[in-house]
Amino acid sequence: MFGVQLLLHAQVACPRDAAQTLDCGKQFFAAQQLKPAEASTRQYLVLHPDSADGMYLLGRILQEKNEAAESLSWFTKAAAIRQPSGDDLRVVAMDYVLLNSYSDAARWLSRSVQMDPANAEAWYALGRSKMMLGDMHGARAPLERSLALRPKESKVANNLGVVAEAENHPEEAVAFYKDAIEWQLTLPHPSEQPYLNLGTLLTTQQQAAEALPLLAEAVKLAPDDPKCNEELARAEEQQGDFSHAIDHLSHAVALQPKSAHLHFELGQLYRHAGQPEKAKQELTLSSQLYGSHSSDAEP
Amino acid sequence: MKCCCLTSCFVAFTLAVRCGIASAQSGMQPQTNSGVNTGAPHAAVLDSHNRPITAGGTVKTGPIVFQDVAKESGLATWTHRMGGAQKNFILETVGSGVGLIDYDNDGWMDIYLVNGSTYEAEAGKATPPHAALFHNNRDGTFTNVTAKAGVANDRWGFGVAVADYDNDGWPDLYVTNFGKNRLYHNNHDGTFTDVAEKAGIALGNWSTGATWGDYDGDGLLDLFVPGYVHYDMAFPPGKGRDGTVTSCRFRGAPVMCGPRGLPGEPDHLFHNNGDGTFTDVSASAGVEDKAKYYGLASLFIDVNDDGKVDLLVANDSTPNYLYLNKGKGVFEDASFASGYALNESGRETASMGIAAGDITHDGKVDLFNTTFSDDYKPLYHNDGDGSFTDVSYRMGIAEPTIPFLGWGDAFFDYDNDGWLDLMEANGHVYPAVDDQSWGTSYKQHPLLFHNNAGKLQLVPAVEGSGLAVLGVERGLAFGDLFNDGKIDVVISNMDGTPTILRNVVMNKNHWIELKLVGGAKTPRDAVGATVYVTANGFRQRTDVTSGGSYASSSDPRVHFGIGAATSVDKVEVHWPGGVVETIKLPGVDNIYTVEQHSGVGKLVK
Repeated sequence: MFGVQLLLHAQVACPRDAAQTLDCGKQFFAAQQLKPAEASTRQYLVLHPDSADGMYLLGRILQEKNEAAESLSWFTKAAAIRQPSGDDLRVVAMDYVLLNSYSDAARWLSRSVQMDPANAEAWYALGRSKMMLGDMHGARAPLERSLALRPKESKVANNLGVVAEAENHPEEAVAFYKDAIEWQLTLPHPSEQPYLNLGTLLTTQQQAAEALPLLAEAVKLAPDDPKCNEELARAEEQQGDFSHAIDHLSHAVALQPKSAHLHFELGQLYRHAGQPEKAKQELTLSSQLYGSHSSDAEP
Repeated sequence: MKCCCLTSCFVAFTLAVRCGIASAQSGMQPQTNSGVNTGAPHAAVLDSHNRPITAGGTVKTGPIVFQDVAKESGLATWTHRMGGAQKNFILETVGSGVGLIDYDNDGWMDIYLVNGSTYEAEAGKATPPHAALFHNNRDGTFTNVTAKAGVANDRWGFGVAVADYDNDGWPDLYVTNFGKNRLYHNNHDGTFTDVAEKAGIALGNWSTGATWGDYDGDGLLDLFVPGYVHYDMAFPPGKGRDGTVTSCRFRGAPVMCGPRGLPGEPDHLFHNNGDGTFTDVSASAGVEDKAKYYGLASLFIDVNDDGKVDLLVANDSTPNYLYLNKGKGVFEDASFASGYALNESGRETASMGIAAGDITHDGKVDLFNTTFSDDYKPLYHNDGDGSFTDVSYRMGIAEPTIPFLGWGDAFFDYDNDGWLDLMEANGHVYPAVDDQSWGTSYKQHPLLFHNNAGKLQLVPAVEGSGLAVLGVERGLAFGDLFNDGKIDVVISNMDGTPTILRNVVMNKNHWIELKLVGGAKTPRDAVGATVYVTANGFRQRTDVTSGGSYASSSDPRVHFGIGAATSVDKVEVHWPGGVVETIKLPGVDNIYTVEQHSGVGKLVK
């Protein structure tokens, strides 16, 4: 029966005695088919309950499924049998990220890169964890190490831009963001983030004319991202283009209707555009949303 | 606010440290990671000596604007005290204010400094720290007359608001505390009597920066008292029954908890009944603070020029309030409609103090709020009709303020050029910041921005000058302490001695100062009046207020620098209640008393 189910996933070829090896689980996992990967690996572990390989694989699969607590329990069991690799520790750290414990994540990532200093992804994750902890200075070195190991990695350059901006080095930030944009040009799915970050920085520096095409590209790549629409609207308002600004900010509000701060910004925009009634409506909505949950976390 | 959520990143990432919980109990704001709402972590800006810019950044040479004369004046004999050095609890971190008051009507500003307290004193095991009233000796020195005056307070004190609430011509003191507040009635003989209980305005938990204003136009000053956190000293936040203290975290480091996550203390508006008593009208007036936001400062001032004082409340880590006075004793909550509730990004700020003044000579009152470190301080331009736009970035003053944690603030013209400048007092709430590389510091120096014809520019602090003095600064009051036409500043430093910034600007600019005296149907001390002075080719505005700057009260006399002008073209007084008078002044470079209906300014002897 199990073999029949596996055969439904045509791109992964599994032998009839699949449960005798971990190959199927690994192949499904590599193909990002997490459910059959989990089922196959669990079946393997029933037959091989002391397999550290099986436990580590299941831990990785569960981490990908955002099931951090159980993932960690399998990593713990596996580690009692065989020392984890540097990359295993990276995955463990990702579990702690899912559990919102960035200090634990940073701790395990530090050990991960000690064991496996050539692991660019671990260095990147360490940098990101430090950023999440607010340690922008501390994030720089791991990100730079990651970039050295994997040159022209756009996402790393983008994060270095964020770090540089936080370190009050806006010119350096601009350079990193431009690198990030250039390095992802050949990617099949470029990210809107470096466009967004660079455009936002330029808007803050009162350079809306330069920011506009970047933010327009961000919206093109991620039309339903509220942040991209919000920042484009800001640049448009700074340029005096109230009509387009209202369009984009209204779209952001539609995408995130319970966002108190977006309603507030739209209200102010309407007011500046000479539409007091609509302004009042939006500001009232903002007030109601803040009043009901004066939370800094947008829904 | 930045976002860098790459498609392959491990979690949605944001620069913001804020990460709250969606639901909240009534009156309790959801707790953030840190207990405060502030901006994204900013990396350190260090000076050439590797000091955070908040504790350094001084220049070796340049014009010296202020000198600290606390020691010479005698004020340094008094020390503020608030809780323990570790600052485990929010009650120990907020600090106190300062009030300028001419309590003996001799024409010279005296100084009242509020003190905090200690756990030992609260438990009756030690002598409580005393507030201090310093009498101005008119020779640059001050004498501590607290004991004789009977204004030691002896409670865990925070704020002071000065006004003549009973229109007897003698200024009184309202002192806010954790515990019952005081209304020190001036007995006209150098002594005061606490009549708060009898007046019905003692309250009982945690009150902060109060303001006086005649909101209903009956000629009697009413009182607004913001509430901060509803605090229980027996069960402070984070302290377990076994005495252990659980810290909250700011940027990953353990710090005291709050205000978010703690129950708020509501605000109160008290109507002056004219017989020495007050009635709580918070609900009927529409200012009852149902959300129990964390109020720290408040100010009655007319922001929409309809002749009625409106009400501003600076709330910590929650939206600010702006109540428009609609007449007949009722306010309209225009906090969001006005744009004052939040900053430019639509984000709540940890507001501590309010400065109000017309910085562009358009005749309208602009506002400036101090906020937490890692956050810029919003400057709200008055667009008219009670609407405001945060122009801090546009004006170029956002960036320099980010590392500082601001408290007291004020607009005043320190160089008498006719343009209101801006000062803010600074100091952190977490002593642990000195162990971190966050680019901020526990002790900080004040910031001064010079107004260059409507553009604010940071004035560098010269080494050894008053602007370079470090302290855990809190309250700030300004006024002409030495009656020389130059505005001085008093800053209350938490757990330290106060700073007196004596104005030593060397220029030949001219000035006038007016002490307003209201008529029969007007508050006697004219709190709520607006004065317009035309001279030197432009028209300036200043308002008589009581409150605003964190927990502090400034010189009630209105001051105008007039630059090179040797006369004023016009003085127009808009008295509370709506009477407008044009005043003739015999000259300049003097302090004049202007009595309502007299039409002239009389030289103060």
